[in-house]
Amino acid sequence: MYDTLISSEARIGQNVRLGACVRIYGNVEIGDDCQIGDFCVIGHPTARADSAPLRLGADANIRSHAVIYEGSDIGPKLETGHHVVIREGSMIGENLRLGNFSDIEGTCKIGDFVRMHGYAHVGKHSIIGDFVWLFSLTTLMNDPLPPSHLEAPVEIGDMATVCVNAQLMPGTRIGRGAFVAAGATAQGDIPAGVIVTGPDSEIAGPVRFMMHMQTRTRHPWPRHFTDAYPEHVRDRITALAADIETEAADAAQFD
Amino acid sequence: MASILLRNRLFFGADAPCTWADLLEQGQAWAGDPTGYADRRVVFVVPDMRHACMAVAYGMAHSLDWGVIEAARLSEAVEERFAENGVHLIEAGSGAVLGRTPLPAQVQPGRVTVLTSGTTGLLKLIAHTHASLNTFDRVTDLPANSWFLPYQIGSYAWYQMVALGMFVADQDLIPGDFSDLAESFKTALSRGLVTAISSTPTFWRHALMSLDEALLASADMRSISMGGEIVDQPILDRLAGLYPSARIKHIYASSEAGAAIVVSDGKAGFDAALLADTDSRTIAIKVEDDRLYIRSPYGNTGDQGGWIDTGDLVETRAGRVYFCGRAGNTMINVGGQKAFPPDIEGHLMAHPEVVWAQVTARRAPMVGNLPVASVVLRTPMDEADAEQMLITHCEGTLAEYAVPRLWDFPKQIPMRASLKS
Amino acid sequence: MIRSDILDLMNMVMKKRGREPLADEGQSTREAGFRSLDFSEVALRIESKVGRELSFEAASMRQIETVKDVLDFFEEAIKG
Repeated sequence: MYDTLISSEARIGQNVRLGACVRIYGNVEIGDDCQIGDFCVIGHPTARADSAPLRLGADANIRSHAVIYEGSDIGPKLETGHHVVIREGSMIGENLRLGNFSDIEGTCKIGDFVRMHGYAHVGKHSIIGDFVWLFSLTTLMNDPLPPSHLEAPVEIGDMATVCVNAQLMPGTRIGRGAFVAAGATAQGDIPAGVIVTGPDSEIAGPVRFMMHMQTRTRHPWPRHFTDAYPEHVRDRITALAADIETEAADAAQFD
Repeated sequence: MASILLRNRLFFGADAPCTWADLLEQGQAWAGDPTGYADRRVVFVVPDMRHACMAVAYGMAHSLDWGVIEAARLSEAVEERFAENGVHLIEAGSGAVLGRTPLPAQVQPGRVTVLTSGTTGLLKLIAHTHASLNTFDRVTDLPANSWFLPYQIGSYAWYQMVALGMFVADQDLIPGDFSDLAESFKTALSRGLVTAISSTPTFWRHALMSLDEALLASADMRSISMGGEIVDQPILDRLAGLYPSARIKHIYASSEAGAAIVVSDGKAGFDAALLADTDSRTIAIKVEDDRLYIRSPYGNTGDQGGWIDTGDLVETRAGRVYFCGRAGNTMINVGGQKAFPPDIEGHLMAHPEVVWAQVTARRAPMVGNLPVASVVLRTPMDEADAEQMLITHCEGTLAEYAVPRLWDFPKQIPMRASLKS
Repeated sequence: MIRSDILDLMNMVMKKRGREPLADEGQSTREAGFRSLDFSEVALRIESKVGRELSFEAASMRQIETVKDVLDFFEEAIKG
């Protein structure tokens, strides 16, 4: 009774470890050295008969009760918490980390080394750059007049940070390296490197002025948090950070 | 459920780009309060392509029971056709109702009235939905593209392309002006915008004849799809030469089966290995008595086992299945021998001086029918010389009875509204 | 159209196919290589020249053996 159900058509790499009651459908390619926890559903079918396969890169660690649909292309080293859902047709880069109960709707584009904490909701067609952080309960909306046939997905630039319970309204474009404060409601075009706060998407100043008042510690991002990433991307982070700082300085004259 | 991606863009003529959000706003100002249309089956009468796209955004955003037609296509017979189908023809700018009062009809929100002109020329109304027009939704990894849109407003192919531009991320549209397709294609190419086109072989033959080769070659073309007609090897080769880095596909679609065969290996016909592939998840195809049958999970008709007769004749040669035309109206019986116009046309079009050829039957004494050819030449030449040149080209390759006997040499490729010839 | 015009048309068809011109009326069509396809083409070309469809009698077509028979046949058909 406690067994797995694996389609004979699924292509599964070397050294893949499966938990109990895992269901793997046929339209799936799984890379080497993946670990898939109990009760996961991999390659969940969509309504269409000719969907592209789910391609899951090597070295993934998918914790129990995750449901991942067919038709997505996921880079290596995916790491998920429990109960996450990734719908079909998404292009996802290297080492995405998803907190428990995160929900990625279909046809999203997600860059490399993106971090999402628990209960993040990413609406259909959202575009998320590299090294982006979405903390718990962030919501990326996409319908400007719900419910409707209109769709204006959110775009988030590289190295942006979206804090707990922030709401990104449909069509919001968050500039690179910007910071959306906890509980903020962001909308419209947010320039690179600024802080967004409050219910009216107020731009409160540049991220580089942000400080933890009690300890007088500067916000470490984007230059001084590189140790949170693997060694082979540190140069990339430094170069990207410099680029964003230049863009932010050009975009907003706060000095 | 498909939704309009408000940020996708459109390029009309020489205008600055606009988004679907802009068009919806303009459509709102133009057509006004949608409440008045909600209890009727409507088709919006539009003056041009921009208004057609406005009408699409408006109809879809408000879940109307809607369609669109160009004002220039209206006639008493066409208006009658709409009236008997319960359609109100609405001139959206003024709200005026055109034609006579339609018969009562049930309103189905979200229904899209697609127009086809069959071979009879009589306008037919086909019901679709937003979802059924969204055929590109199956493609999950479509790279960013700007599509030149050559089709006639309101046709199935036009709606499919508009749906692509609305529903799929990063797909911009460059709507052509159907009343002067060559000119609008030229404008789009000159702006350096076009990276993709879905069209017919006839469209390309026209373009190759009427536009400067250097201008054509200047396009950063990445994706070319052709369908609607038999796609022959010479046109595939010509386009591959012009656009060496483009992905060139030809698509055989059966609307009855709701299925398509997509070929991207640069060769005419399709691989006979597909006949053996009977995976239940995908479409299955078979050939019986030289006819192509399709079974598809989308099909809703068909005999036991779900096989649908496509009515298309095929021939298998060296592991490749080639289309030979439609059953019933393309085979020419020449004194008991069968000649197939598509084969003859394909051979004629392989001649470097030929840009287009059409072979038809002409009733004749003694043998019943003779093949006769209509050929458009690349450069004008003496007709008797041209005839001799083409006969020599045919002899030895085509059977004697298949060599056309009468020839005419029009200056232009005829093109129907469907972009077919 | 007179008889010599018809012969010219027949010879034009022969020439296009790379065959020798028809020498004399007594020649058999089979030996000269003038076939049913050529006959049909000539018929259509005559129709274009005279600008109307000709009515052909199937019975008399079957009796054609020589170049003369062809010429007689078309002359008759043109007269209508």
